[in-house]
Amino acid sequence: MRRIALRDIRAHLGRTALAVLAVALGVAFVAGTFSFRTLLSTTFDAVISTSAAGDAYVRGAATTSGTDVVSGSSSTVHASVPAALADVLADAPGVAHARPEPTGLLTLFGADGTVVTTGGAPTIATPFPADDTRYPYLTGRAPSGPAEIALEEHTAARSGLTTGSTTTVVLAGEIREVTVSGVLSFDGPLAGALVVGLDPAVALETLAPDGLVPQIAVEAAPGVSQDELRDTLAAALAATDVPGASAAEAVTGDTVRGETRAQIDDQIGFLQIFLLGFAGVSLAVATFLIANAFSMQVRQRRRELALLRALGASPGQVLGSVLVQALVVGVVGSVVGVALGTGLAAGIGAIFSATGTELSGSVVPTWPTILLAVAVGVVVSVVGALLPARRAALVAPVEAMREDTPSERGLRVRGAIGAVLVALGVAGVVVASTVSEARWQDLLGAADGEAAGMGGAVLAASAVALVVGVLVLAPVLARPVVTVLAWPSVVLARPLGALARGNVVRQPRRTAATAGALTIGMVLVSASAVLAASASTSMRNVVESDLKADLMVSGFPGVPSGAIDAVAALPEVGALDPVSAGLTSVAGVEGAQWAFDMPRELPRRSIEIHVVDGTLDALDRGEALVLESAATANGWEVGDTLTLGTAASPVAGADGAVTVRVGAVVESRAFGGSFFLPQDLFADVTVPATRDIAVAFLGVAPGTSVEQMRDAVTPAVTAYGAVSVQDADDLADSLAAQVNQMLTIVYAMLALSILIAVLGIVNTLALSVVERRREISLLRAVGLGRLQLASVVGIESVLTAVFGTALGVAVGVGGSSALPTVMADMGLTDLVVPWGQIGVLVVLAAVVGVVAALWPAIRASRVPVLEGLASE
Amino acid sequence: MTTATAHAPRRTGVGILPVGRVARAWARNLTKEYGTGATAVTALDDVDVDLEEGRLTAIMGPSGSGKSTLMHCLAGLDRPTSGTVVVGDHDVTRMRQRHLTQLRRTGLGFVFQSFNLVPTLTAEENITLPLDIARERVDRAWFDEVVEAVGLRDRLSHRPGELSGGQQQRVACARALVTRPALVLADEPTGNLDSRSAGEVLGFLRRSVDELGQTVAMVTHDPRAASYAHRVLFLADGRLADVLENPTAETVLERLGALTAGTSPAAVTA
Ligand SMILES: Nc1ncnc2c1ncn2[C@@H]1O[C@H](COP(=O)(O)OP(=O)(O)OP(=O)(O)O)[C@@H](O)[C@H]1O
Ligand SMILES: [Mg+2]
Repeated sequence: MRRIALRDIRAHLGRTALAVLAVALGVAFVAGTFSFRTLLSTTFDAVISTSAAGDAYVRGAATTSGTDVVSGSSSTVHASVPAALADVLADAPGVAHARPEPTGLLTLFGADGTVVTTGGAPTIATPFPADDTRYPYLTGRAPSGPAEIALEEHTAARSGLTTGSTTTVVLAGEIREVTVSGVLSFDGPLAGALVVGLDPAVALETLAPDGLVPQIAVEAAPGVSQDELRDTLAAALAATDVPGASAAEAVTGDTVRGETRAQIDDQIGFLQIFLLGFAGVSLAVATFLIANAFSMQVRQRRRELALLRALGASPGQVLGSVLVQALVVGVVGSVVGVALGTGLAAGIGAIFSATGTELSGSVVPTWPTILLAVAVGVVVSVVGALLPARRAALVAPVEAMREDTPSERGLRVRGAIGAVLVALGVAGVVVASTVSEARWQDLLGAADGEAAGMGGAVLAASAVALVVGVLVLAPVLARPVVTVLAWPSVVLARPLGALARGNVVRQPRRTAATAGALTIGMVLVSASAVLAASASTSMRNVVESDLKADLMVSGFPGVPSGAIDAVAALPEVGALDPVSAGLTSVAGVEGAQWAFDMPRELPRRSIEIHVVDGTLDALDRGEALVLESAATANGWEVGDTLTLGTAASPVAGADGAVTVRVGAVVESRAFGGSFFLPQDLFADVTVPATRDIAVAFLGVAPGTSVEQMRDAVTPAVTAYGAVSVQDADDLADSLAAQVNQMLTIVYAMLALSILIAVLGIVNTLALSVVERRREISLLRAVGLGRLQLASVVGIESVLTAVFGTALGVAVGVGGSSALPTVMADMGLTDLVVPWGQIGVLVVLAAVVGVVAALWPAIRASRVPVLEGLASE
Repeated sequence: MTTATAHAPRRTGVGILPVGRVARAWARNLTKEYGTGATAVTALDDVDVDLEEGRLTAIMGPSGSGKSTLMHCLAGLDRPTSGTVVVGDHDVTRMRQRHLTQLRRTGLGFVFQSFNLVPTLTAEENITLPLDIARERVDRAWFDEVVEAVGLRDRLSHRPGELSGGQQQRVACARALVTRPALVLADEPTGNLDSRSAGEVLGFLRRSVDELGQTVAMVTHDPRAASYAHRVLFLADGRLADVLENPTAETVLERLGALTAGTSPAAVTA
């Protein structure tokens, strides 16, 4: 039996190759995902040991979850420590050096006068002490004084600056003319980050104006271990009476590196979940394809299998022979897939490198990755083949004598199950789209905020039910839907359209299975398209309705204060409302919250602030305005009092904690944070390092046009680098561009699952051409030309592809119609279905169909007129 | 389009019509070999045949004698190794694929032994298929006449799967005739049928000759079927062995008996 199985693989190499390719692509995604992860983590391992090279660190013992200044990601942040502690620590036994590490961002102008940036990564400013001998200067020497900087080697290359060059930096909101004193080399990769070194004193003064630094790095004297060093430091901290010493802790360098590592792994893990999601889609599609390929193979071999059964083969043996084939396909496909996946990861790595994020790690898949990928491939193949194999095993020996292929079995049960699932899904979507969050709260009798995710959960469940239901129901839908879709071709291309339609609806199960692959991909694509279009439009609407200011100035990481001063000095600017943002903590609430300092005139002339409860005057009374989403999430109401502070959990009455009354609940979709605070309060309770001018709103002076003001403002701020000047249209456009950029990634990922879907169509068509040899010969004998025959195959393919797409689009668009209700508090208010884009999808599907039909059509037109008829 | 010169057939032989009778299609020196070298099979060996206009010609012979091969060569479905085939005034052996395809659409009707119909099309669609492919209008009056003749009026909307074997063959016959081809070729059209269904099909083919003026050639193993024909050609070992005019079942049996008795085909003359 095994010999028969292997012969069959050899006899049908083309078809087997398709199945192998399907498995390979699915596995490639899995292997690629893990390889990419390996690449990232080996890269970051190196980066971490380069950037956190200290033997021990002293930092604040208290932690808060906040936004990391450098990476912009949310993470655990330790409280800062006084830089002055360094002097104490330097005197401790076994300590070679203790250096405060104030770190911040700066804007560096390159030799060509433009801002130096790599793939959006910020430029990091950090002290380069002159007595630090670990890193050699390639040229020049350490920076000294406020007018000098040193550059890390890659940064120098990127900026085109060398030792002795003069340039401009924007540091702590001010423009400074500086000279490059030297170029230094870290003996390790920095993943594309740009690093500018400052005189330690200047760094402290500019980056840590309050005297607090995130950490103090300590180097051990020769022969002192990290643990010994940590213990000495702890003892030194305990012994000193320098303020802040009691709130500081000493940890080993390995501890810090381990923590950083874990945080980065978390972030990569998230990326990986995303990638694995796509791997899952492609594997689901691959399973589909394999099941499809095998069931057709089984159907074709029915007579042979029946003959084997008649000759005494047991059902088990027949089952075994099909599964052996599946196993071979799975193993071969997986091996190819692992190779492809490694290539894929290397390719992504190359793209990253090209955009400036040097990924220097290794992509060679680890053994666990290889084993996992192969296991996945084999399991998918065997599972895909199981059902067809069972059917093969149960072929009755008498079938061998019977003439025609069996008609498709009844679809009633399948139709009923599918219909129920679809009905449930539709009901779920309707519920999700009509029941608001407040209603959920009432319905469930839940406390405030507890029903928050309810709509989303219902929608997710209904989406799954809809997709599965439609896939189950697809064979039943095939006849009516394809009949409608085929109408133009039936009318325009007589009799080719009718022939093609007949072939497509003849075996609705097969058609549905083939189209299913495309359906899955298209559900995701069309839902993403709807989401993106709705998000863009919602944002545009908010911008248009809420933005009263004429221009907006914003920057990354913030708008330098110097730029604000420059703008304020312009006669064309009539109104200027800079809004600062900073992180603060609230007693009893987990995690840090973004707070904004609101200029008094802001709501009147710059941006609409919608009052939900209370009045805006509350700000004048020194009270806080709470944004509605935060109020709902935390159950805050007008009249409540909140204790805010910079420490992780501020205690009322303690040092640095302030108690404030909630004066109003407001709504503004322009600000994603928790509250607006009066100016003095804002300064007291927000962490200085996180404070920045997020945005400034500008109004024209009387007698000046917006264009005039813009012409004046733009040159004034470009001196500060990464600062943009936008009016309402620009803002809406740039927001939409961000959304579309996200969408591009989604599309790129889905291209792979569509590729697999194409393989499925090719497979199905090729097989049905083989099955229909006699019919094809007959058609040729009555005068059907080769081109006409090829057109029939092409129309069939297009019909199948468009059928799958139509189902996918129906589900995707239908499901996402509930998004505005579910995502109302994320600012998604308008439902926009981008019909143009969806039309493009359908056209794309038709193109996919044509491409998929090429090979099968050529095969079909090569069937000799006589041979098909004689082969009976 | 390649056309044959209308010269008179050069050679005389058993298959060639006497002067005064018109051939609708003819083959001269027709030789077909399959394979090469030691495994070569000569399916047709220097065959000369005429198919008389407005007549039903039957082709008989033992299994493997080359009957199907002859039909395929006549229909341009297969290329002969050498020799000439002319249908109407087209030299089939020298036509290009594209012209052959066109000829098949409306110049020729072919009825196969089995599997004649496209399963996804209805009987009517199957009948009009060659016209649809050629993008020609269906002559309704002629269509009705043909459908009436095959007695399928009430079966037109059925798919092949819903028709009996005899009905399917009659649909195939109707398809072969609907284009008014110069020639209808039928390879064992009744091979799979019981005698009653066979009678239906044969009766129809004969009527199409008598009443509609068609030229038809059919292959058969059944002397009773052959008796429907005006003329019977006997093949043996790829050569034309004998010809019988106005056959009856008895005379056909007799000739077949003589053929299989090992008589040298060359000795048998009409
Ligand atoms: N494609 C082919 N390849 C090789 N030999 C062939 C091929 N087709 C037919 N032959 C051979 O040519 C000879 C004539 O075959 P043909 O099919 O014409 O016989 P036939 O008279 O129609 O027989 P039957 O009554 O069994 O249908 C046979 O010996 C056959 O084996
Ligand atoms: Mg034959």
